[in-house]
Amino acid sequence: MRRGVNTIYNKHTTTNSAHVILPKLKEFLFTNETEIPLEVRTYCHPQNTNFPLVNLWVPIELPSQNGFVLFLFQITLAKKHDAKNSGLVKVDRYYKGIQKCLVVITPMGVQLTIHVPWDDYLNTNLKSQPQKKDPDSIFPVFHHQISDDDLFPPPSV
Amino acid sequence: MVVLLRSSPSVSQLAPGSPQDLHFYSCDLIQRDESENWLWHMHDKYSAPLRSLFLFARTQNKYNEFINAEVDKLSLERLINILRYASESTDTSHLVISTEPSPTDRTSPERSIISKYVLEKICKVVLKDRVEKLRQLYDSLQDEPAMSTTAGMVFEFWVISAPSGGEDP
Repeated sequence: MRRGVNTIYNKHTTTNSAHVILPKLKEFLFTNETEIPLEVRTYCHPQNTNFPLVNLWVPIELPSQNGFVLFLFQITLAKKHDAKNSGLVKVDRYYKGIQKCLVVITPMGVQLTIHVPWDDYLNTNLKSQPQKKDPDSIFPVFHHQISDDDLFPPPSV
Repeated sequence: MVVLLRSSPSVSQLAPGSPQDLHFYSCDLIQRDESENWLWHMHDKYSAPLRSLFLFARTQNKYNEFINAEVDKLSLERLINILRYASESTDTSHLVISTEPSPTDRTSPERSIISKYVLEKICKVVLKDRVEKLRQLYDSLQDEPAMSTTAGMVFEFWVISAPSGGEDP
């Protein structure tokens, strides 16, 4: 259904959403990609300006998933977003065998269209997986909108 | 990709007609050793131009001092004016603000804060980490499509500042 080099992935609605409460997180800044840890509740924040795909990622325990899910966050103001195949591959290489989920964060009101290069990704990384498998179950993508008041909360009275 | 241009060998060292004499010698920064990692680090942190990378590669503290001095001169109003009226105010420092051609009109200058690290400094020193001042900056950047790069940086910076404030499990 959503396959193709430039698959448009824009079906995210309130009826097709997931609700996750992030726990308190520690920050891990890094520039050298050989030193990336995998610590629960520690978000990794690449300082390289040219790191593809994501601004930060964090592994979080989700009882509903019987284990960890690696949340990858991409923060953008753009109305159109291309997930980078090289970024998907890179993160996959660091964290093999862990369920991953890309969350694109934008301001409220941005109608986002996300292009995910599923064919490239499946062909280069998941050859062992059946090609018919729904890409959404391999690497789900969500769009999270932040309101101005959440971003800049008004002073409490 | 930052490319280091090495000096080419003298013409006398090359055989006449050698294809090499048609090119500069160059090599990519491929993080092959500590010194190249350091240059990458400086580039990522300050978005410094190549000239500064080489001049200050061994005296990063000095470069930091220059940036601090420039940030100290800023106020919120001045920062907004510098970003908004790129063609009018020219007395700005390349240490803090970058001026580049607009992607849509190459004859129009477009300004942005030079790096995330400098933006963090501005937030601390100029905005004093005050939410309403950051919001004022963010709102003022929303009006102009030419300032979307900086608006994106501010949005990213502020969203990333938030995750540590989550809930206890």
